This record gives sequence, structure tokens and C-alpha cells, in this order.
Amino acid sequence: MRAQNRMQKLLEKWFDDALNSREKADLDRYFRRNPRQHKQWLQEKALHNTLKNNATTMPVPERLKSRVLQAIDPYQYSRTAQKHTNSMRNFFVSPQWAYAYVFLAGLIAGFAVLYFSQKQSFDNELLSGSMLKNSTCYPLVYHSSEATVDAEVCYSNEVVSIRLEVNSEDAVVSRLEFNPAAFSVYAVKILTGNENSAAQTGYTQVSLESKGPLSAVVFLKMKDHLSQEILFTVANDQVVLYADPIEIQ
Amino acid sequence: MVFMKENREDQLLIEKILKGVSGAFGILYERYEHPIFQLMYRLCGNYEVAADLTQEAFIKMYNNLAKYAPEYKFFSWFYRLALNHALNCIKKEKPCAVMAEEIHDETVASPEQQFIATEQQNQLLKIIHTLDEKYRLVILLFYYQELTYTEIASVLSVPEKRVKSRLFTARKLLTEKLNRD
Repeated sequence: MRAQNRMQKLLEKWFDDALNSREKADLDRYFRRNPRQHKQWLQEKALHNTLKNNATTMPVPERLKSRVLQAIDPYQYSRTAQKHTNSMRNFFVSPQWAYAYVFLAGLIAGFAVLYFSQKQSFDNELLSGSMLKNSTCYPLVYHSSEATVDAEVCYSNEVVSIRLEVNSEDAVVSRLEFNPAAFSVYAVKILTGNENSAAQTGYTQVSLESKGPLSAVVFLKMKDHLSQEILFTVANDQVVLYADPIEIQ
Repeated sequence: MVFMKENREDQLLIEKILKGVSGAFGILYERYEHPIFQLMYRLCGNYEVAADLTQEAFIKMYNNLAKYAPEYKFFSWFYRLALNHALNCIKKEKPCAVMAEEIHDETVASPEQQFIATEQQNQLLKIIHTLDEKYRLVILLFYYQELTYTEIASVLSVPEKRVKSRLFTARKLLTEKLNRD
């Protein structure tokens, strides 16, 4: 039994190539006495060497790490996501984006300049009356003992133009009001006629933003009299006299 | 495997993980990703199932990390945990297509040699999988995972002497099976 145990130990060492010369000699003698077993052990040793030398590996799946980390610590991943957001934020304040911001600011400034210059041109055009060339105009005539008011209300696109000619020494156009007041008034200009002339001419052009219903009141201020009102409405591209001229009180 | 002997590094990483230090688990994962995946693949023989088993083993390890006793080697503890988990899963639920896939041997030079070696390996592994579990495990751990007798003894919780005798018997059985085939 003791000898068998020793042989077992020698065989194990033989498999591991760890025999010293004396042990090797002992084992060789044992092999010679047991040729059949020797053949089998040689096969086992060959198998041992095959297994030792042909250790193969499989590549680990690429996404396995992220799968595991995601499964064990979702908070860690949310922090990672936060970092990612921060890095995106940092990207947007990076020098590359500074150029984009400057370009964008320039573009906005350009559009602003273009808009205001267009508006100025529009206002100028409006005031010069050239915009009214293709407009539809409605004459309104007002007569009274003191004054004759020739009024013309023109409507073109979104522009309402009111021209008033007051033939009276005593009357001037004092103001013009629109209702609803919410309508934006681009330009209001009251022109008076030749100061030396007996006639006072009021010339007013008004531009409105909306085509919605509108009523306007022209106030005529008469010398020594109360103001007189002329009413008209603008709706659906039509200018309608709201009421007959009212008697001056 | 040299890194498995670096138990002190494992202990430090575990301390960090338990303190909630971000990234520590990732480092520990990288240290054991390869051997654990190889072990799972050798046990199961299916690439996808091996990936699932590896993932589950790591999750189980993470969830039980507080129970790990530092006086033992971490790799032995983790190997045992992974091994038991895999064996249970294979027995219960996961179908084990033994070596159904080709093994990629990156060490062989020519395609012809590679083909022969791959065929031999596949044949050999199929026969290894016909062995009893106790013999199969020592063969896999010794030859494929390249663990020492001491490490195998530690993983399987058996005396080192028994590991040697099991390995001896396993080789004998394997040779007999190969001669029969």
C-alpha cells in the first residue's frame, strides 16, 4: 500500500514534469515491470500535454461589461449619463461653438438692420403717398357753413390712408382716432397747407397692421366751435361712411 | 493565473466597492471578466448562455459582496459562487449545447493547423463533458482555467490531495473514452 502510494505520487510528479533523477529512475523501473500500464500512462501524458498546450480561449462579448455594470448599479449609470450631459454642455460652450454664436449674432443683427431699413423705406413711401397709387379710395365730402372738408380714405393692402382737405380759415384737423386702439399705427402725419393760404389743408396717412374691422374718427377743430367728427369704418377692404356729416354745432 | 494571486488588490477594490467608490467594481470586473467567461463557456459550451451566466455570476457576486469574508481568497470565493451558479442554472433551466460552436484558437498559426487543432479541441471537450461533474470540473479548472492544485482545492472546497487524485482518475477515464472512440 505504501509502495502504491509512492508510485501514485511519482506518477503525479511525472505528469507535471517535476521528477528528480532518482525518482525518474524509480519510475522507469516501475514502467518496465508494468508495460501495459506504462502504455496507458503514456497516452494519459500525451493527453495531458495536449490539454496543457492547446488551451483555447473565447473572446468575451464586447457589451458584456456594460450589461453587467448597468445591471448592478443604475445610479452609477445615471451619473455617467449626467457626465455625458455635462460633456455635451461643455461642447456647446466650447471655442468651436463660440464661432457659431458670433455668426448667429451677426445674422440676427443683419436681419434687424434689414427689417428697420425696410420699415423706414415703408414709412417714407407711406408718407410720400406713393403707396396709394394702386389703392382703392373713397371720397367723403363734408360741407358746413364754416368749412368744407374733402376727405379721401384710401385702402390698400394693410394700409389705410386718410387725406383731408379742409377749406376753411377756421378749421384745422386736430386729431385722428382709430377704434380699436389696439391697431398699430405705423405713421401718422398731419400736414398743414400753406400757412399764408386761407385754406388749411390737413393731410394724414395712417398705416395699420390688420385688415380687421376698423372705425376712425376725424376730429376737425373749428375756430370758436366745438370739434366736429366725421365717422367712417374700414372693414373687409371696404371703406364705408359711417354717418352723414353732422351739423356743426 | 498570476492576477488571481493578487488577493490584496482584490481586497482593496472590495473595500472601495462597499464604500460606494465609483468605478471600483468596473476594475474588479475587468480582473475577472475573462476567466469567468471562459469558465462559463467551458461549462456550458454556448456563447450566448455563457455571456448570460457570466453576467448573472457578477451580479450575484456584487449582491453578496458584503458577505464575503476577507480571510479567504476572493478568487476562490467568486469562482465557487460562479461555478455553483452555473451548475445550478445548467441543471435547472439553461440548455447546454455542449461545444456546439466553433472554438477560436488564436495561438495556432496556419489555417490547416488551426482546423485540426479546433477539431481536436471540440472532440476533446465533448468527451470531457461526458465525464462525471467532479472529474469534469477538475479538468476544466486545471487545464482550461489554468488553476493550480491549491486553487482548485480552494474553489471546490476539497483537500488538495483529492484534487490530484480526481485529476489522475479524470485523465484515465478520458484516455479510455478517447481509445474507445
